[in-house]
Amino acid sequence: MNQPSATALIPSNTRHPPESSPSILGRYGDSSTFQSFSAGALKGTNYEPLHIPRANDAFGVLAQKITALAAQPSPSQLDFEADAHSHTLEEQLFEATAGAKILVSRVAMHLDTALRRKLFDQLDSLHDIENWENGDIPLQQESFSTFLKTLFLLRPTIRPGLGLSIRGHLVATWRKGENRLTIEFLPKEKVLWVATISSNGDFEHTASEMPIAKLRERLKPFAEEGWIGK
Amino acid sequence: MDRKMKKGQLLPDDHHVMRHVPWARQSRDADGNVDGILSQAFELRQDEPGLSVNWVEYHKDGAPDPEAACIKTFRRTLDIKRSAVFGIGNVREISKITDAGNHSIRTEYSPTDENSSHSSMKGKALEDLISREKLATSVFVRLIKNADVQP
Repeated sequence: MNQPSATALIPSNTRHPPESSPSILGRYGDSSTFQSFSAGALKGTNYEPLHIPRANDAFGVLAQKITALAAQPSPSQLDFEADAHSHTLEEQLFEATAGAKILVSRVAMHLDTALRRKLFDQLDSLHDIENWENGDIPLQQESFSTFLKTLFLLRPTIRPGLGLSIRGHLVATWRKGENRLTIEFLPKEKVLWVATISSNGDFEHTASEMPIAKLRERLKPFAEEGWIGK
Repeated sequence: MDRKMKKGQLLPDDHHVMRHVPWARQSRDADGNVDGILSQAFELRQDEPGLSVNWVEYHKDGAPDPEAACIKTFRRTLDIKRSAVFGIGNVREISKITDAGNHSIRTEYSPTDENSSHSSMKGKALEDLISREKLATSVFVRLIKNADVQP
């Protein structure tokens, strides 16, 4: 997961700016900080080289944007809060997924369209009333905000499976054979992650709670072994 | 099977318990194919004194399929969705899990008025993420889909 080889989930038909002008993320930083990187390839898809700023410059600005967007009530939420006592479960579930989708749509230029649709499908599935467990809390905006920021930070080329904790925290899992990496996205840009590693017929486990700013470095060994892609 | 066990007694080591796992706590790939359960399936809710499970061998007397009978008990006492799965774990394997402070998990009989097979997993080790991950990946590895068990 070295910064120069960060793989962007941006499709090849995205219009690329010339070298001398700011990139897609240029509005978030000085063009002189940008470099062009060769893109990795998502399985079955080819991506062209994309101008990507260094993660610690534009990522910080993007993360701030996501935080600001997550703090804004969505239009449906404003109506929702006006009549809080009559919220059915269906309304609560709708509100949770609507809020997440609105947040994604506002940073959609940084996400592949097909992947965005898959993400929406996964969120809908988790909040389907036919599957819903009584007593669970729907997806919390702060958790989803942490998830989005982590996606942009790690830039995984393998899509994770998604789950939801009883507290409404989004959970992402990646598998590589019998190995498994699970990340629970907490509020305030923190994550709880655990890795299960198969070793000679036994399992080893390692876990930690940490801010996402440290996650990229900490998960580097797993990325290098292809757990979350290149 | 000794049904004269008292409330609070530990279940026999060679017996099994079944944990209900709703859709959201199932581990799956990006396309939705279920491949296990998440450690989050073993988190205690705020007001829970222990993790609820059903004692499988309680259903052995008079039932040709104790596991199916156990699932039917779940259906009778809880709102079980079609997408649910049930994980089966051995009591001895559960008790072997310890956290860094050497705390373990005990499985004790805790019948209710509605569910005579109800039991509880208790212990400080349940507060530990790695212990919960071990439960998910090493103990409760055998899963039965609710949809596969006839009414």
